[in-house]
Amino acid sequence: MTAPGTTVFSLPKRRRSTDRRRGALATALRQPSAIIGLSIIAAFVLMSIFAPLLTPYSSKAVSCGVFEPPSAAHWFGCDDGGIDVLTLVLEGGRVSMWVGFTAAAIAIVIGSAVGILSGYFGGWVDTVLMRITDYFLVIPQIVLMIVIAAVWGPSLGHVIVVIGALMWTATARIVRSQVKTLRERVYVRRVEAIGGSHLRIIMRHILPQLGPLLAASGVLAVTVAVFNETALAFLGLSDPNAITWGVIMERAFTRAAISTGAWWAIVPAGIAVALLILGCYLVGRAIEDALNPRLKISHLALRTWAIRPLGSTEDAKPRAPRKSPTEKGAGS
Amino acid sequence: MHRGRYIWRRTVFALVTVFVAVTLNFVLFRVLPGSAVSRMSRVPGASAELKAALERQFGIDKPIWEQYLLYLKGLATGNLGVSFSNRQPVTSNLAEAFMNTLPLVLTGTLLALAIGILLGVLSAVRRGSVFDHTMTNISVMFYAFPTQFLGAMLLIFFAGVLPSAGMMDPFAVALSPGEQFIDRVRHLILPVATLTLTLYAEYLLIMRSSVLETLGEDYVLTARAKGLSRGRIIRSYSVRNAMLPTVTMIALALGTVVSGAILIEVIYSWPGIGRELYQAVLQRDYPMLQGGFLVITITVIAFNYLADLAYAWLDPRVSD
Amino acid sequence: MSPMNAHDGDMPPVLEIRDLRVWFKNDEGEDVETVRGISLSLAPGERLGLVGESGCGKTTTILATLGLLPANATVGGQILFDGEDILAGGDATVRPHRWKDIAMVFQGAMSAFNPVKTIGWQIEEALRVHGFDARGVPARVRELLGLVGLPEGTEKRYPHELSGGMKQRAVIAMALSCEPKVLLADEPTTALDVVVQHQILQLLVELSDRLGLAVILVTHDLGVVAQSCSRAAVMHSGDIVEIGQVSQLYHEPASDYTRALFEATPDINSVAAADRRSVASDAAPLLSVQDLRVRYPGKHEHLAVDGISFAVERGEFVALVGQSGCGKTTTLQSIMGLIPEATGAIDVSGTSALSSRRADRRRLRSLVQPIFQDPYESLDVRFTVADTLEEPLLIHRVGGNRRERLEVIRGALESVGLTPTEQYLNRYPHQLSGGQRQRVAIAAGLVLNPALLLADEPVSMLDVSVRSGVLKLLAELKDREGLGILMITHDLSTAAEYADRIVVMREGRIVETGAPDEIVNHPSDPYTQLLIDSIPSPDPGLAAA
Repeated sequence: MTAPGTTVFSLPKRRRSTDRRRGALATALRQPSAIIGLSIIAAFVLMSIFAPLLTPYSSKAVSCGVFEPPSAAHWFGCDDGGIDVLTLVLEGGRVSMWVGFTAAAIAIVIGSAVGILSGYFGGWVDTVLMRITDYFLVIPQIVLMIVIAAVWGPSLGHVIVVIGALMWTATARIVRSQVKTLRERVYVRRVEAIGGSHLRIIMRHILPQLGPLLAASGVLAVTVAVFNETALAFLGLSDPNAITWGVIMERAFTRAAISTGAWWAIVPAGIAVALLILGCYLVGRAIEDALNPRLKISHLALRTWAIRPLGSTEDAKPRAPRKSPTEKGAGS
Repeated sequence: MHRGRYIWRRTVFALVTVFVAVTLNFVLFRVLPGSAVSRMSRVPGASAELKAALERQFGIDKPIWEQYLLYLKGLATGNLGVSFSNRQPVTSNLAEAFMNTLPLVLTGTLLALAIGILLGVLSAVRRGSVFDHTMTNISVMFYAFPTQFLGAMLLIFFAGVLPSAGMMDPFAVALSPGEQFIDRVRHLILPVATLTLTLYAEYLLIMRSSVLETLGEDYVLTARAKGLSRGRIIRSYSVRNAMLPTVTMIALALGTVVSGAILIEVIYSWPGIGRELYQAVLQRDYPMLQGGFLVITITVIAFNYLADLAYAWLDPRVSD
Repeated sequence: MSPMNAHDGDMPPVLEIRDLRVWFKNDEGEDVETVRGISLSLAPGERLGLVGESGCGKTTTILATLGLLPANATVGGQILFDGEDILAGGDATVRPHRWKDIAMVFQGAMSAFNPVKTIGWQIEEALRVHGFDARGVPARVRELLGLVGLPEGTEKRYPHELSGGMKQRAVIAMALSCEPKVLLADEPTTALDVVVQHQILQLLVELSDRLGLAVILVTHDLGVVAQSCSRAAVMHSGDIVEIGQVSQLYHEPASDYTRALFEATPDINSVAAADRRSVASDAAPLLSVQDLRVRYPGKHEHLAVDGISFAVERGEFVALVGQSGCGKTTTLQSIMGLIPEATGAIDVSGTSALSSRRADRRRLRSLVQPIFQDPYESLDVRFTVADTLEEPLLIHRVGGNRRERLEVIRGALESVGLTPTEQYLNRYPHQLSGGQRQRVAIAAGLVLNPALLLADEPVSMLDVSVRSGVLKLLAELKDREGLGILMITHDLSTAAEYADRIVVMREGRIVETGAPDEIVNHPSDPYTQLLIDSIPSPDPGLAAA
């Protein structure tokens, strides 16, 4: 037996966190910041689904003058080729989000597989996998992506695979450390002792617990993937035939939109990227914060405890806290 | 006591990582199907003699392992080949570019660190206040802007006010040394501002949550029971302990510095290593690309190693 | 609230708590009263115990005394130090009194120190902040460390370089640095081994006598209070139910709660040669361990278990007692077949636990069932009670369909006393109390009809009043179902009260085996004697040696 390293303060804390883990995701998503984030993501997803219906003009055909400023007919103005920017941004969103979400999904799958194997089995499996992860972590991914994209040639598929296959390291690390603590949980040891197979333990007891964590690192991975896509596109390494937000910004930049003063050729795409990343970040962050029990207590809050004057104790009377009928369903 | 062993292990790790990067560099360019060398015929505008020279340089006719040894030998002597585009040795091209990059990246990163850490601590200890909300919201906004977009916005806003391209005025040769210096600083402002704004947000958020995590620790409660003042507890307890995870996370976020620097150099036509890499990509100048990859990677590994040393210095507990 | 404060004597109290109330705002925004108007007074040099089970408000009380409550707390009432209300002006009026007048020792000695500063720096800091003459500081630090029995040079060491006991001593040294008049000690010994616990307690008592230090000792352990305090207050859900001289509380408790608390606390001194089952059968024992050795290779190669042999009969309750690191957990895990490094022979009713054959291991998994220490963690929070109990049946393919399995599950719930079973089947762990959770964990072992239960400190994390219920259940199961039970524990007094036989382990070896009354009353090994002497008896008349 190791002396339980618990303290007066950590004991009730821990109990509470296990009790509430059931609802960690639900609690997190009820935060105002998470609601804003979710709404942004939902709006973008809807817009890209219905993009063909929403686009006012064609992205291939000229519909107005070169760098025509925004007007009632062309809300976001036109680019250097006389193509409606709103149309470009809507269509670019479809591809950018497809790239972002697919690459993030690849990263999450690889990352959680590596993390689970490493954290669950430990020993040499852990050593080998974590060594590999460490190398990947240290080598600057953007440069590796540039080199791979340059060598393989520009295509959307390559961009997705390159981003996805290089981005999993952060997820792998987080998942590993979480699995390591889950592995030591008494209920996992109990199931192991009654003869539950590794597969069963992982699928039934560990993976479901990772749900919120994977959700958080998934949406955060989307932000990195979208960033990397725009960066690669900006360096001319994206598919020349596909329109993405990154490509829109790159074209506007290389075709002198800035020196012409045609800010509308670059701003809508940039804002779109920023909004999507903001949405994903807010959601991911809210979940991560809800999962982190260490953020719940502060011994150094700005406001300290309050004093209730002696006389007022009578009228406060919270002696037997009884919920009003309307609040009954609130919690048990 | 164990510090020596820890530092030794990190040194070995850094060296091995350099070796991995060097090998990766070889594999990417020579071994993978469809890799650069087998596609040498696609090098734009390559003459027959250049192709022959390249084949000699890479030793394409030889078996892979012999090519690998040749490559390592070249590296050891500082020979990274000759650039396709300007026929200069890659090493000297890169050395010049590297020296140009340093002032930009160092100033930008240090500024971002100072601002991010300071505001991060202040936000954390005023958690929930108006200041905290304002600071975190602004930094989340900057975090969300793609670097190239931020750069483009600054270019538009400061067009005409500040120089927007290059490291110095091409006509500045006639100026006095003092004026030349001022000219250089003026050229630095926009790129450095862009880099700082790109980076500080992440540092602020990292520092803020690291400090917040320490505030719930028992030692902070003990410090309060000791009758210490708020400022003292924040300095010697919270910030001091929060520096540990922050050092690690900032080292892990070095990739952001690299990608930010590359994009900024492209936007502001800064003749640094990122721009060299960009040009190499455009012209499929493989020797330059290879060299650039190596130099950036090794620099990042070196800074990671420095972070490891800083960690050992900050945390008395380091052992294995 | 405290009508019988027996100490309204000669000296004016150094610390007085008057009608203290504390409310915490919960997540729904309601104020919940956790301390409900308690009053206490502490004479100079007096030691007062504040006893209660987890969640009774005892820690909140002393945190409130020093103004250390979190922001969601509201405080009412007065804290008088030398007659002055230090709470009146909030944090600002408490702060000057912290450490100089009232110091505190927390249970979490492990984390009470700033991990990146030396012990000496942290004690010095307290001295400097409170205006101690700078020139005398280093000497004072050494003096303090000497006072608590720490060797010279400790001031240069970092917290992680000290053992738990040493750290707690250093915490006490730091608490005494500014010569406070009152020390608030919150479970100062709980996380420590029993022998170390005893030493720390003795140190506290001795220092309090020597320095005339008044102490409020917060603890859940009546034995600790009985051995170190003259007076005690018993707290229960935010109220003081009884306050008085310790001997009076022990001999003639006025409240039923106090009485129940004392009854639930095992007393090593009252172990009699009761009618224990002397199981002497000719048949082979249920569990036999022969010459078990576990050597962990690697950099820190060490022999965790060094050639031990013992047996458990059917229907016998054996307790394996020892301090942390003695090898008892490794032994238990070897019997479960979880330690590949184990050598020797372990036989459970004809099946070898060290065999690597699949069939053997499978049989072992249903023959031997574990019960773990922490009931809050031993159940998957997303599984209902029925799911938890069904899982072993599914793994071992018992029962053809859910209905048949439910029958088995109901039977198991009944045998652990969770009736009517319908009430429990669909509950989630967070809807159960600690004791109920432990019962569910035991039931999850019983569904497979095991022959041997291996219990790892099954009650150490439960409240005293719940412990006896769970232990009685184990004893009952052994009698009714003929199960063999092997329990490992650090707590000799609990073992002595419930086990049929006790095996004492130390540093990987068995030092002594015997019936509880023999072990307790006539120990043959000095280590056993040391363990016994270290256990604080709840009877204040019996001073620990």
